[in-house]
Amino acid sequence: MKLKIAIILLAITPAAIAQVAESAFHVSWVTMKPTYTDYVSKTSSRGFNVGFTKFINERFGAGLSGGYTVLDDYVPRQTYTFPGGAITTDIFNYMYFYTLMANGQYYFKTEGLFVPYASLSAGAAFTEYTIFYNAYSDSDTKTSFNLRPELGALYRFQKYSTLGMKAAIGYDFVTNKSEYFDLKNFSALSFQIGIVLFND
Amino acid sequence: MKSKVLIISALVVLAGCDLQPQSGELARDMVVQTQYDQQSVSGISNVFTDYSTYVLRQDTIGFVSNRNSRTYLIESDLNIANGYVKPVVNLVGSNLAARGYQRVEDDGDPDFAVNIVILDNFSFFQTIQYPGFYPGGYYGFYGYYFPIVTTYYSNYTTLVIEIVDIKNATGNQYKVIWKAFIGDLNNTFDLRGKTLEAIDQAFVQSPYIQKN
Repeated sequence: MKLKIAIILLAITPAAIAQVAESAFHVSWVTMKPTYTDYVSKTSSRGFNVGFTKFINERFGAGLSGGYTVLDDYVPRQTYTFPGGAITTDIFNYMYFYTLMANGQYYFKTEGLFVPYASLSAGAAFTEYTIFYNAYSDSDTKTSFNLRPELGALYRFQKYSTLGMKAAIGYDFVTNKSEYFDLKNFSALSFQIGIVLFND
Repeated sequence: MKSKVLIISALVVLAGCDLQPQSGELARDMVVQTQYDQQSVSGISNVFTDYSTYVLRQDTIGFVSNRNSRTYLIESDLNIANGYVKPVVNLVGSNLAARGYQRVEDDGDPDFAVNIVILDNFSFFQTIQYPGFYPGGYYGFYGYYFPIVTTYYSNYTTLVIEIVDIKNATGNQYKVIWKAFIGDLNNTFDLRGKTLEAIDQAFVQSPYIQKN
């Protein structure tokens, strides 16, 4: 009897722990809340992220993703003094943030429609800091390194369905300090919710 | 495939909206930048305390443009309700009077001169390097091209107010010891009102302009 059960278990195991899919493509809406707030402090929902994942086995996957988020803040009119003078203006701080990263993913579950995961992304970030004041503007652009640990979950609407969704929370740390604007490295929490297209 | 394109398009549009401040928000107030000569105004001395009188051209504002050959503007050139040239000149004068200075004529031995000039189509905040001296006469709007303009084309129009030291002139060199840049005159919904507010602000942020 024990032998029969063991044979049955072995027979069904490959199906039960099959990897999530062959690959997947996702498009997510990104909300970013800066944790370094010297330049922009407002939470922005003007972002998106697209990515491709190759599921290596039932536990691991790897992929590429690219993102774009615009953050901004308003500094009310005030007078800034400098050696030999002063300037009075209000300022709109804008940050245009692009990322292109590779990632590795670990899946906590090997079966079911709901698959929580942890991932670590690393890659390049392109940041354009632009201040607007009246008709004038001033910019500084930085290419830098971006690291993003992320916790999230994939949900497939049905077994073998193409369509699913994902939700994730991540933390971006970016080495994009700007000497020009006297800014340190940027960091932010990011929230993603998106649509996933699975390929089996 | 169609649904993928739609989803991506929707997200791109969503993410792409409001990528710059609205022009109405930007035009709320003019930028006011002031600079003083740090040799003339320092922690130890301040030439403004020694001044008593000044000369300021009435009824005209200098005009420098890289798309127009005019060198000055009078009220009839501007067609602005309630005027522009006269209110601007008068407000500069009343600010100076409030700081203790008396307006005199050219031949009244003024301590300093005030030039008011509109620079049209110049990016004044960013592109002009001031030598700090007017060679030759201290008065008049001619020769305003003397500052070294490093780049061209922009749509900015800037009101410049200058104070030129006559009392301490060496030979025929008259030092520009204070400058106020007010802009952008194009990018405003109330040219007269916002310019006048900005002129007051230029003096507010220059408390060292004060007769002893």
